Amino acid sequence: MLVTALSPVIGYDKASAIAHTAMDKKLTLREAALTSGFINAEQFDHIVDPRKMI
Amino acid sequence: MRIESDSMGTIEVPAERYWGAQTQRSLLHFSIGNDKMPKEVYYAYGYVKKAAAIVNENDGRLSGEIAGTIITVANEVIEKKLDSEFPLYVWQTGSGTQSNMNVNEVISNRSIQLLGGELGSKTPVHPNDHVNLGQSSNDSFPTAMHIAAILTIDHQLVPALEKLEQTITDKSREWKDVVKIGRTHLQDAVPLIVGQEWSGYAAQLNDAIARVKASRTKLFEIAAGGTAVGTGLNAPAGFAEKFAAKLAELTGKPFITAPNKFAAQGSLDAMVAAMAALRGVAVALMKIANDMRWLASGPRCGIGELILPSNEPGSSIMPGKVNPTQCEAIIMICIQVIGEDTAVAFAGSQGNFELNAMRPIVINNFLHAATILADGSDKFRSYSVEGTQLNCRR
Repeated sequence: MLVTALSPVIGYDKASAIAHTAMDKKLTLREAALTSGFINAEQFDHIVDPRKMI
Repeated sequence: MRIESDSMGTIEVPAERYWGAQTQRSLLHFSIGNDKMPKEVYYAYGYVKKAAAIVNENDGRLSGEIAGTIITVANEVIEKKLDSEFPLYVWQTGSGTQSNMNVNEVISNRSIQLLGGELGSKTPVHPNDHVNLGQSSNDSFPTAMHIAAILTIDHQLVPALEKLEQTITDKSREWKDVVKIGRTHLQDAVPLIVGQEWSGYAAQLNDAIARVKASRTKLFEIAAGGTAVGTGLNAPAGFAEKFAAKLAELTGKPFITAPNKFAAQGSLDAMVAAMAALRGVAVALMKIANDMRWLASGPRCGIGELILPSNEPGSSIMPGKVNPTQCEAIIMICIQVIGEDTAVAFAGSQGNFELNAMRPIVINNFLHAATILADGSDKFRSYSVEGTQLNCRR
């Protein structure tokens, strides 16, 4: 549930939509996030980093 | 009806209700039996959401308007004004998430209404992004459990037990000069004073109350700030400490942040210990009530040392029969509490990795046990112990 880190930035609902898209379309979280347009690659790589989530 | 939405899509909700999609889905999937989540959990959650909103506003994470409205509505929850908005059952997700979301949705929609917005729009007050800010069900539900347990122990259970203990102590002093036969193995033994026998009952209760009070120490340690798995993801540094300090101020109880969030969320050990203290009360009360009904057996063909108050007719067929009904009720309560303690211990053993997801059964059993012990002790004192007399002819 690394997507949790996106909630403070884009909000729970958009983060949730990205998570569902990734599952439904068998995409990686990164692919689904970038497809959504809610966040860009640079932001995603900066935020979704397991080492920063502990 | 009104249309509400969550990440699963849209669902119809009764138009006049403040709850949202996740509460409605829980009602669909978990309308099981008659066991509703105790209201005390929601009053406790009122304090959780209020403390979080204050800390989040102070840290600049919530605007004054949004935080202020959340606080206003949290007060309505605490003041029991929104009871009918919390319809969910005990038998739901083991984390209590659906009840947390019930609170988030109700506070969100009621806040939106107060601010002139449209119910279900999630603006300007969002259930997750604002009401639940810095929290997870996995830290807020354990926190609400501890608050509800402490308030019930302090305001209901301990006062009722202390009054009963005082009444028994009074009886012990009243009967300080009456000699009777002692019994061991149900057989005649050597003499003692009635007051000595009753001083034993008072001391048992006194010790049991002390164990309940001692169990509060770990209940004062709260999980808030641990968020999803105890690491505190999405809560800012210092949130746990500030939250605990604010909660202590709001409740007047010495809550502190749990020193280890992984233990606080992965286990239910503090609740198991507190429930075990309730079992201790039940075991002591059982002995007292059993002694009383045996000593009052008769009136012609039993031991007959005690005369219990005659409160009501005891038989539908045997005219004039009067029974030790208060003793029977308190013994049934004690049996129930011992059973509930077994369920709580079982649930407490079922933690997996970072969460014990057996929480609603534990708080339901704990609050039920504490409440029936408190109410039962009051009735037992008023309608049996206070009016008990010695049959001095024996």
